[in-house]
Amino acid sequence: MAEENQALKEFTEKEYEYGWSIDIETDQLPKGLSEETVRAISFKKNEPEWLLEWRLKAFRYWLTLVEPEWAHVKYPKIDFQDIIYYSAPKKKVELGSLDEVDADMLETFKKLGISLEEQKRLMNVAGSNVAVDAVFDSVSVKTTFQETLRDKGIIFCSFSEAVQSHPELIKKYLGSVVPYTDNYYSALNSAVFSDGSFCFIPKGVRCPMELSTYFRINAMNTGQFERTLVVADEDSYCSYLEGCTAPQRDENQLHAAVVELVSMKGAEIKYSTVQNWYPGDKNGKGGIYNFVTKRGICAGAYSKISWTQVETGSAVTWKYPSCILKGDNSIGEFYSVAVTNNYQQADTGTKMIHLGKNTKSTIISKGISAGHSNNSYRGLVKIGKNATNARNFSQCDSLLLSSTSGAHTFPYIECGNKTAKVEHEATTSKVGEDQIFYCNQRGLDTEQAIGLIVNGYCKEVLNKLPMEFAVEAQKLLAVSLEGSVG
Amino acid sequence: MSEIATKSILTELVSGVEGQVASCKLSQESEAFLAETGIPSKRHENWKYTNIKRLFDNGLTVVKSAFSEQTSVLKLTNTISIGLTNDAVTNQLPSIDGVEVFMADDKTELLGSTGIHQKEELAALNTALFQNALVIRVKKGTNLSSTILLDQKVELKDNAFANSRVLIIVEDGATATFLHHFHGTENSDSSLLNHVTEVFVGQNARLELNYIQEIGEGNLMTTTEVECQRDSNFTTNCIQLNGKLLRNNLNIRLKGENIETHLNGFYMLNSTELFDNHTHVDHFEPNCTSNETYRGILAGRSTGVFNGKVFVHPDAQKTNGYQSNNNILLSDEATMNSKPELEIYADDVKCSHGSTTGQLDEEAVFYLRARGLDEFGATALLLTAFAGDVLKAVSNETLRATLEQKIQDKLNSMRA
Repeated sequence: MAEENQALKEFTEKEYEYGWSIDIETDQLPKGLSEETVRAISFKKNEPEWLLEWRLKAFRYWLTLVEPEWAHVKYPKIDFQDIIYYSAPKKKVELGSLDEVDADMLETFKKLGISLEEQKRLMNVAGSNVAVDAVFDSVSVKTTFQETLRDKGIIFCSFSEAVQSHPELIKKYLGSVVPYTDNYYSALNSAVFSDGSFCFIPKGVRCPMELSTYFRINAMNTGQFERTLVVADEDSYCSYLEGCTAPQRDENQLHAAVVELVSMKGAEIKYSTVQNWYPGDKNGKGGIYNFVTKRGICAGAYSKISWTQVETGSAVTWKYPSCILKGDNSIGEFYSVAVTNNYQQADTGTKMIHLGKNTKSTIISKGISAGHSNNSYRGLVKIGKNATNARNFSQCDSLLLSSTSGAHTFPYIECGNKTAKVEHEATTSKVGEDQIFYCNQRGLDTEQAIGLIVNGYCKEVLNKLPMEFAVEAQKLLAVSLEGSVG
Repeated sequence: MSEIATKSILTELVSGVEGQVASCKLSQESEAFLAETGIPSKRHENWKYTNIKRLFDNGLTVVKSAFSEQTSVLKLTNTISIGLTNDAVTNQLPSIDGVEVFMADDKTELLGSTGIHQKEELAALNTALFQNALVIRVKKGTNLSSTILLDQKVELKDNAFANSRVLIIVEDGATATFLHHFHGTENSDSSLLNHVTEVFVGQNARLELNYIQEIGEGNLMTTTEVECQRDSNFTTNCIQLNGKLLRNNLNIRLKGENIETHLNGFYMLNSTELFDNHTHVDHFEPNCTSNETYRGILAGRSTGVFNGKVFVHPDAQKTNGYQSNNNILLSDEATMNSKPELEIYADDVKCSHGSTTGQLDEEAVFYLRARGLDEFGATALLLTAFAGDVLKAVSNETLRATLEQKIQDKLNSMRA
């Protein structure tokens, strides 16, 4: 037991590896939020009139809302006037030419642990197959592989670029899955979003490479409000990955993103997230508030959306990637690993809204809590009246690594069709002493045994990540669980 | 209707009634709590699927009843019956060896001591309003072989509102079985019976508390607050057969080590009925087991709600918690909302839950039909077996047989 406690202590005292910031000259708006801020952001981005109108509508709606309190998380009230809503690197970056990327910024990418792979790709190393759009503070700085993608007719660029080059697509799909009226943070995001990524896969095209966005909050007191929109037209396929880091700061920073996915008839979108925002120090000071709205719609028959997430960072996470299964025979999937440590709090899960016939959904959620953290699964499975033969299977397992941590499950199951089959199961337990003993007997020390067991426990989810990133995620998990014996 | 308006309705209700039994302190606390919360609307998490404001907004008038001699509608053997009216008036106070049965007054010990009137709105309303409370104390070491039947005949006309209250104390080492039967066929769908039972289970004591709820068109809300001491065993079986709106709040607090508790429920809904079961088990101490099985059959345009919570407090190591909720939908118009929850703050625990909603296995129906049963016969047989897993926890054999018959009757009525 003493040994276990020692190891646990080591784990809880582990520091955040990505906790550095780089001084890059930035162009910032002053702190505070008002219609002026919204107008200024829109002006800086040279946006068309309709988009400004949309932002303003969202902002006015946001003013009428109160902060939601239903999630199983506690945090001091956010002062929305104390946040910088726009921060952009001052040096203009010409897209398409790598040499013009700020050297400091390249250094930044070098420092991002898991971007080592992307580094190579940024350098355009032959044989790599990931296109990267990096969002630094509020602005998208670099999108690689534009040419290759353009040949296939795929549009992959920063959101503000898309507003200029493909306004008709943005106008059609922006807010179509997550309207600005959806919730408090989606309204805020709609009003002040600064950039993000846009991706359109045309009919029948199978995207040949992984598309990837990299988010990083660098400047002090900034909030990051990015917006991602992925549209897969009929019978197309794409796999999308986002990764996130933030520097170590004492005060909390806000990240409120919106992700919208639209999957047309026969199309498939695979969306993977490796979230490693700064989680705060071991006393719970600092860290990112991660309040994200993610939702996809399977608009056509036989379409598919698959969410995979590995959540290890953020002080407070509040995130429910969801699927609206509107098309007949459409499929929604959600695979999640959430690790919380120290004073981290995660309230995460999914919503599967079955509307079409023969729709299927699978939810696999694995929570691991250590230290003084709280980890909750909150999910909704709703079977509409017309969702004949809908099928859902949910499994939510929690693993507790310390007696001061908490693991909770709040599933909502609403079934309104008799031919539907809905199953939910959840278990909460600690790593079995018998399992550890078994491994010990075979020559593994307790720490290795835990690593083995936890990795096995998460395997179902990690296997769903794109190959290149599965390895990264596994490493990330192994690192965060180093010494977590208990 | 605004919150303020609802509050004035409450004030009116409370001030219009005289002869409350609750002590001054209790009713003051309840009224203060109500003034703060009001009647819950669908915006309250615990009332998300059940609208009770409608009843209050339509206006309710507190009614009093007079006791008239009655005989139980259930034909059970080995049972001691206590007849109750809507608001728990009775003059049938049997004398049983080792058991005290009496009406509470404002000095009755333990009445209101669970503090439920400061946690739940309806229990607070009951505490502010009830005029009669039946107390049954099973004395230390008594081993009661008969079932005590609380036979509550519910007769509520339009807009009538009654509050009844029961306090059950099973002292250390005692064993007892109770059945609380709410029944009535003449109830108005704008009436409401608001019932509260407080239960104390002493050390090494054993209690089985059964509920049968069948009140025709009426609305019934019950709150059962249970406190168990170490090494005790508490089982509750709740069978819901008919009612326009039935809502059960069941809270069990395990306040000692080595407690075993079983929560079972079975509900059968048809037409536009809405049955709502909320359970909450608090594990405060190590080495306790809670086991929950709720099953339901939904037909017509009915709505079922299940919300079960197992709460494991930081010191409650070695807890075993299990929850299962299975539902069968017989119609496309029926809706089931299930929410099994776990909230766990200790690491050495085994907790799990499962919830399923679906229809009968076609192959099983086919198997039976191939052997000569008609479709209804095959379905009924499978559904009876589905209920059987819950009913087997009922220890009184004649009661079990009666329940099986009642379920069969309701199945037959669904066929029509």
